[in-house]
Amino acid sequence: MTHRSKIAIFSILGQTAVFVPLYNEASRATTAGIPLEGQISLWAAFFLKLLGLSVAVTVVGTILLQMILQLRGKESVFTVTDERDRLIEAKAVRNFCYVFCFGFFLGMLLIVLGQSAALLFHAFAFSYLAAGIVLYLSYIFHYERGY
Amino acid sequence: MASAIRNKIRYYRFINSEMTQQELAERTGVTRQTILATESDKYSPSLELAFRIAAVFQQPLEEIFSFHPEETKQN
Repeated sequence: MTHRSKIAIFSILGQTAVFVPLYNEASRATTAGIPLEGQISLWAAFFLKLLGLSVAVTVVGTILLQMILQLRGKESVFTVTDERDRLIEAKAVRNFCYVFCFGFFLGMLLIVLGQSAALLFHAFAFSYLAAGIVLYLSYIFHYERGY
Repeated sequence: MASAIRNKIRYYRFINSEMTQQELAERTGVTRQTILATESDKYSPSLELAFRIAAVFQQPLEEIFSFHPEETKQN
């Protein structure tokens, strides 16, 4: 398995580990009978925390994992990012966008069908998680397939 | 899926004092994984990389790489 695939697996675990407690906290807070304005503010804080923490966990985790892999292996890790890496990144980000857009329009559909605004944010939260997982799975798929 | 571009990188590495994939990667400015994927016909390199590889072996491009579209259609 390539180094980048190992880092992608770590990123999936890291993102999920950040998402679960934050989502539980936000869900509990928003089901406590708070008015809609308060709920929106709580969800906004949730998304900002989620973004910040997931970026921090991914960056710190990637640096640590690179150090470990470099110590264990003979080959240097990430010395070059070449055309194939950029192509794989473009494909992975494209898949991320597809899933995230699907979640966004699913949220819009829920509103049109008369569901509560809170459900919209639940859809956004899960589409963000799913899009992140698809992003890293795309990396693993392309690196392991050899493309 | 195999690429429609075939290559003789393995052969030319062999006759160039068993040049390693890592060495070829360093001389062409890409990762060893890209050389590995190219050599095993799993990745079609850009024209620039193909020229760089040919330049390392001091051969014309068409000597290292060949195009076989009919094989891709069969796959």
